[in-house]
Amino acid sequence: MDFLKKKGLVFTIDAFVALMLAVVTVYSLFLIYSVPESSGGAYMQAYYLAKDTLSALDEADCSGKTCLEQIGEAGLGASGGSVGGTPLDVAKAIIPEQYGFRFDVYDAQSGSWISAYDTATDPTSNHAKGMKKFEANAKSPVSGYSVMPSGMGGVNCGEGEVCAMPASTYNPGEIYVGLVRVSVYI
Amino acid sequence: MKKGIFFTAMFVVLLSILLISLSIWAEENKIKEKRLPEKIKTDSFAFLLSQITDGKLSEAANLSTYRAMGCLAQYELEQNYGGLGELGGVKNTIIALAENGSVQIGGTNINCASVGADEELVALEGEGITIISQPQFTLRQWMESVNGTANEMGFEVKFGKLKLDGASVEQNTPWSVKVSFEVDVNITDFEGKMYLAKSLTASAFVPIEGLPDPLVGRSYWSLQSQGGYTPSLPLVRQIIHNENLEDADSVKPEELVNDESGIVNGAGWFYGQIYEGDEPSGEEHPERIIWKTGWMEPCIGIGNPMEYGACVYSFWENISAVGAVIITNTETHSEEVLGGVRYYDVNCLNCREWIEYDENPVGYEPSVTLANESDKPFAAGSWPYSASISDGMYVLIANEDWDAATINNKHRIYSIENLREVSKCQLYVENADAPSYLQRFLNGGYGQASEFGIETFLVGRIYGGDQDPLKAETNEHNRIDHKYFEPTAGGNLIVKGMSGCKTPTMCAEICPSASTPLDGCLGQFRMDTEHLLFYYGDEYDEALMTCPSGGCSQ
Repeated sequence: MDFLKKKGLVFTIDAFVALMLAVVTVYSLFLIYSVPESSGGAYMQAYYLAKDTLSALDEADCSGKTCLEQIGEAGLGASGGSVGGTPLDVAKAIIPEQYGFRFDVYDAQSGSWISAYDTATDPTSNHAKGMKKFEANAKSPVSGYSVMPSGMGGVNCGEGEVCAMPASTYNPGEIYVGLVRVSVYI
Repeated sequence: MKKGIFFTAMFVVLLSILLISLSIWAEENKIKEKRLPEKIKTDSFAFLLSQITDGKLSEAANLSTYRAMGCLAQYELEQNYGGLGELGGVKNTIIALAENGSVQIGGTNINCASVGADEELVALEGEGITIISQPQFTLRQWMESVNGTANEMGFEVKFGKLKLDGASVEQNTPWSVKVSFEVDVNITDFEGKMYLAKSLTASAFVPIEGLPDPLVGRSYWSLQSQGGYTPSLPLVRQIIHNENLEDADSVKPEELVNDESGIVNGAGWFYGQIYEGDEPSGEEHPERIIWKTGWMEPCIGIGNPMEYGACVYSFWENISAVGAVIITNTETHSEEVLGGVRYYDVNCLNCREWIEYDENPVGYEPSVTLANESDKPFAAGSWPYSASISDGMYVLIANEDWDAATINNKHRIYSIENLREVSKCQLYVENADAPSYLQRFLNGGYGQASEFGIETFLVGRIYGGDQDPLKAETNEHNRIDHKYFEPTAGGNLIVKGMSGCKTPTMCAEICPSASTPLDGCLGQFRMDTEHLLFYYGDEYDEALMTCPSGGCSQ
């Protein structure tokens, strides 16, 4: 009887432990899956990569202007065209290859975003191609000359006979205001 | 049994610790996730602040002020506005136009959106050159764009009105205007949790290059109207300059040759291009050519140059076709005694021929006559003078009036291309006795002078030329713009080599029908002595450079 009593206790404890394990397992799974992927740290990491890239672009020199201005100019400037050269080198030095990244420029006048670069469409880039899980971004306003002032003090007719009066070649330039968005995705 | 319970208890404790850790980790992540948007907003706020700076405002101020000055100048031209009263008004008007693109002055409303349609410049020949007006750009547009980008980031940026107290618009060099002002800015997020107020200071150096000159156009209109004529279009002159020719020193004539460096003789004056070939008469406009040649050089190797054969004839044919001659070798002498008379024959153009009587008969004195006489303007000499003037150069041959008996008169060859360039291109040049660009907005601006003053030459068919109905009067005027419209009777000298007076023939009348230059009738370029000294400096010699009372026939 004592034995039976002891055996019952063992089974009871065993059953209790088993139940508890099952509950713990379910709870653990619930805990893990109830936390969104973003809070897994990867999202934060992607955001900080985007932010650091944006800060570096604002500091780096790209032909006499900041690389951030160069991206803005590429997106909104009269010359148009996509981003290349130093801004890409800066971004590639910061963002690991398992991430992809994209530069977009917001035109305040038209209220639309313009894509200036995406590793997904760059066959020369070793970075990730296209977003599979999530992306994070950081934004900074940017403004400057999309067309630099030029052509001052160089009017020339040449010697000898009378020439037609030349019009000034001076161009006071054009200024743009926009927003650069660096998106990092995986 | 006891061991089993102990291990079970330990397992439960460890499991609990694991679960608690997991819970804490998950909770922390949730908190982090909740804070992430705030972190992103804080970072965005920092980025926004870093881009709303004095430097960015100054860039916008630079372009908007440039546009504002262009708008005001065009308005004055299009509306024949009399000009502003004082420089303070110019400052306030320009700042208001830079900020909003419009301003109310008295009962007049200036709106840049309706000012500055395509304008026409009057070219040197009188033909029009259209200048496409620039798109409007105001500080308020820039501020709205900044706010638009801020809105996209979840913020609002509100700029106040520009503070006129302490603002300045002043000429800081002849070619630029310094603009400075302050403006307050408030930045908030949409939820109203973040707020920052700051003051921005703009400081911009705005070039005036390419802007219309309000004073020339207005004054031209006024002068023509007083004469009973109304121009059909507003006359627009742009401020243009060449950095290599922006002051009097850089415009001065260059003396290429003088008496000490080789010229021994010469007569008359002429401006033209040097031609070093053998047959200048075959050129398209030989009358515009200065033929540089040795004395009968084309004949060398053909025969005795002193024999008046075909070769010599060719020489004289060329001489008669060209405008002027530069002889590059000195005279050669030969001596002959015939019947008691010694002849010193000379071998050159317009040389002195000395005749000496050995026996000196009563009543006869040694005499001088001209040999190989020609009325062509010329200069003659030997190296090194001929080395400094070469084929293709444009030069002014200037000699004092020819006198066969005088050997000490002056002979020079100048390059006046810098002054001609400034005149032809209608460039502006610095002069502290002239009004600055900002003073040109003023009513009576031509009575002003500034250390940053600029002036230009008025040359063209509409200024004393064949398209100027008042040419009989205006041809007498000083070609310096701020003197042209304040005519003084007489006192302005025709300048040799400049437009309308490149040759004695051209200079004989305002619009000579027989020798109208290819570029049309431009009237005669005149300046007063004050400006001749200013532009010619030490090189100025009235007899050589200008046509004084005796005219320019020689």
